Amino acid sequence: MKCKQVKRLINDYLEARLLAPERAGMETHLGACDSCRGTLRATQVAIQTLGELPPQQVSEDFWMKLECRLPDKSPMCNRIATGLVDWLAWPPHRLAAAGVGIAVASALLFIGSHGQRENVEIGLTHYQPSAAYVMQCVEQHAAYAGDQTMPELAVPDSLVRDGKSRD
Amino acid sequence: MLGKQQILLVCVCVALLSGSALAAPPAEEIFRRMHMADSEVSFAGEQIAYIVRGGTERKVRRRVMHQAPNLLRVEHLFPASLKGELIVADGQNRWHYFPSRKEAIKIPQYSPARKRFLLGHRKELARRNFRILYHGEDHVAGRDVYVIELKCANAGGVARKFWVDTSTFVKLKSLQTYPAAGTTESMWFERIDFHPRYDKNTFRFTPPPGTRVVGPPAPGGGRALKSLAELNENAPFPVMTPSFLPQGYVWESGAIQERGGEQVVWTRYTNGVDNISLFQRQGGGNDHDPRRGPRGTVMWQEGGYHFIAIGRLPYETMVKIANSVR
Repeated sequence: MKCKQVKRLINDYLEARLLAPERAGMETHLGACDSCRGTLRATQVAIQTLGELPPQQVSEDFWMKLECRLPDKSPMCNRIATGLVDWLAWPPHRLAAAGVGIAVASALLFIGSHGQRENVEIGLTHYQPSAAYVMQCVEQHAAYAGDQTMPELAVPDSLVRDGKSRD
Repeated sequence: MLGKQQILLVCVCVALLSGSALAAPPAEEIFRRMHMADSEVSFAGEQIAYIVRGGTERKVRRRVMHQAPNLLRVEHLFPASLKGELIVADGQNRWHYFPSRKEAIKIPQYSPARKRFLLGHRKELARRNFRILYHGEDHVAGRDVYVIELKCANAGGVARKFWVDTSTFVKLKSLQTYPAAGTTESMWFERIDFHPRYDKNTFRFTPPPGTRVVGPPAPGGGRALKSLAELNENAPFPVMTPSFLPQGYVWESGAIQERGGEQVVWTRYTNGVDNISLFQRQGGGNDHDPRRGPRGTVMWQEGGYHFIAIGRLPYETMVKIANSVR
């Protein structure tokens, strides 16, 4: 197991969520790697510290925004992320040229829209439902799937959600 | 001589009887009885759910207690992060309690009669849309099981296998593969008892103090609406439906719900095994492009309404459905 993989699985390891072979691989690596042991200790301290903090209220769309940042995110998120990484890898002269281009385009847009602010605001409107509403719909759909008494569908959602946040 | 003939006849009869007693019922009959077993057989056991999605694998252990026709309690035992998470169906409502979020989702249950109707309807659809194959016998949780498989030409490679108890027809193991979503879900019982004794509080759930209870009231004010016409008569806005559904899917039913003072129309479509849900509410903008939402949903807006579609279909198919909603 490599350092990168170990660091990715540290939360799962601390919560005893790893399968036996993964756990064994982690422990072998941790036994031999000072850096990863340090990360493990730091993560333990962080979890402990966070656990001692009082619960905080987050905005209703927090989970939706967070999910967008997690692995297995939407193609749009992926495109944005990939595009950003590609863009950062550009050579300096190309970045500078792009910066000048963006500045000129922004100035033109500002000048053009200044006298027509209302039109700009009438563009596409995007309505974001609350995460609680989406969650209820998903749970209802799962529960309705024949109103099955045996809930194969009831757990995977939370399970997969949990899994996502740690991978 | 006569004595020998009689002995031979008896032998033949015994052979035939024992043969017929051992022969498995037809695959369709196993599937039908498996569907009905949930409403007819009580049991308690320990179950493993194993999910592989996008290369990530997860294993959950849970204790399942069920009293026919519709009482249920599921306690999560592993992993630690799910410990305390609880599902209780008390006959009126199905609760899903998340202690870490201090939240309980409460969803009205259907009556046993309504459930029987739905299952009967789906059984007919499933017969039309799926081929049910028999794969012989096996053992799960120390019990004999029949192995059956559902095959559907239009299911995008979705494969479903069930291991069904030979005496009770309870599903003891299942394996479902969804290639489009890169997901495999399996469930199996490690032990099961068909003569459970339950405490009177087993199927009761009272949210602990400080728990936020979310969820709609009973559908349609306690009445499950069936037809689109009936739904339109009762809905506060025109109900929009998809003109495109994947082959084999038909309209099943609809409901009107109130959530936080807002009306939501929920329509359901099925092919007998899988379901598609469409939730419509007022308040959307005009950003029509369907986009992937959380938890495998597809969301979009149209004509001042917001829509959420949910179904286990390839994303492209869900988008096609979304684009056909008028």
